[in-house]
Amino acid sequence: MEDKKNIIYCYSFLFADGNSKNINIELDSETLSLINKEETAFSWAELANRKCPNCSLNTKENKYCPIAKNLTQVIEMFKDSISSTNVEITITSEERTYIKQTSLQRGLSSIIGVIMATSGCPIMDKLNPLARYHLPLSNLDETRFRVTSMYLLAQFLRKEEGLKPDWELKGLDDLYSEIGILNKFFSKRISSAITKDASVNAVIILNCFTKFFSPSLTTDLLTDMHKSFHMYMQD
Amino acid sequence: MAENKNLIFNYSFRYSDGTIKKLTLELDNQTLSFINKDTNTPSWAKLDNNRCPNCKLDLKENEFCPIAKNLTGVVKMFQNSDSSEKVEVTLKSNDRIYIKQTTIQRGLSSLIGIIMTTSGCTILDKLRPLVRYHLPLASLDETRFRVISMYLIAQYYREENGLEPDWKLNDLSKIYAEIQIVNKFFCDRLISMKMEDASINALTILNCFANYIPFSLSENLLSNMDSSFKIFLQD
Repeated sequence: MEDKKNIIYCYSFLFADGNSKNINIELDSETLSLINKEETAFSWAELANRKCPNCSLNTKENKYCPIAKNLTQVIEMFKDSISSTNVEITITSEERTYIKQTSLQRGLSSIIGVIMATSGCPIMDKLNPLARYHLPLSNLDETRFRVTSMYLLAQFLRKEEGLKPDWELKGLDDLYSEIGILNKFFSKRISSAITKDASVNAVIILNCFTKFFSPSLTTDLLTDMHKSFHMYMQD
Repeated sequence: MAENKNLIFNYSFRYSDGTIKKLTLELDNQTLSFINKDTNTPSWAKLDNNRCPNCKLDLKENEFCPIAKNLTGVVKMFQNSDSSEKVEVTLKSNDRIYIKQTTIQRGLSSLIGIIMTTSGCTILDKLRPLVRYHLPLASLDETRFRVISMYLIAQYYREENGLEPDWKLNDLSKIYAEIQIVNKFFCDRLISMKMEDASINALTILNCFANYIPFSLSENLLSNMDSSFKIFLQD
């Protein structure tokens, strides 16, 4: 973080017919909070509307669900799109450009993931540190590595601060169950806002990730990854 | 690791005059070992030529320094290049395409980083787990985050396997000190090649060496990183 410039991820979706849609995600470089320049918010974004049962935000102080509010632009832009449409997605960041031919929903899933982790939702904020090192269109294996290692780094920092670290990743399982609940309720919220299915499916993809993560995090998931760490398994 | 295909990294360097140089690196999916199809090895790559003082490889069993052997192709391709020349570097991996306008030096550093850590050098092997999640042209901040978090995952596995974990990152500095020794001696090795054959100018490669791991582990290692981890720093 040599400079204080905001972090910007420019997503561009190129459709087979030559049309393109662009979305810029801008984050404060210190807090990694999403900077939303859009003022409009719809009733489906109101916090009281399908509030997640595990939400700790106060309805009086927060008229809107912070994630829903920040997702308005994406939802409006893609509400008539079909999730399986093939697109070329280009993401430009300060560091480099990323390109992939994939489905619209995978691209949206990637954007929605950043928005969810940077909006101020007390549950999703636990994934906020990853936004600085956002890897667009990451696959399951990459996400798993990134989440686990970020969580361990958080434990290292806890220990440095004199707090109890969770080296056994127990809290990560809990976190993912919370996110699972959130995704379920959030999908319902979004489906009340749209006509076709791309955005809902994007959340569904995220949900797949968390489901995959949660139940057996410390068993099969990490055993696979284990293979490339054999050089650390000797004294 | 959804599939067992080898990991392929297709690097290409496009010069402003339109010339393109391409290099493909192939790694075994399980071991992440570099697969070298080039059997021609010059004498500068012999293990006893400027061998690193901290090298643990047996001279009888290893005629060549494994890194030097695997770097031969790169050295040949980029000899007599101007390391500061601007190029467009493209990396095509199994997952996506990465593009950046940068210098030959930075592009090559990224590629050399893969070879260094996957050749079987017992010192550099400690960074090998990162290669599965290779991030081309990583910034200092990105590399720092990746190295530390990978190291913490390694400690998690150590603990799982009944070995003592190094949660304080004490040995990470030792690994870096060892790597610095390797770097110094490897540079001497490259210089020796020039003495051997004046037509080969390995300066390009040499310049890439200093920063293929572009950070040193110092006391302010984590200083700026923890602002986004605040959410974890409460009970």
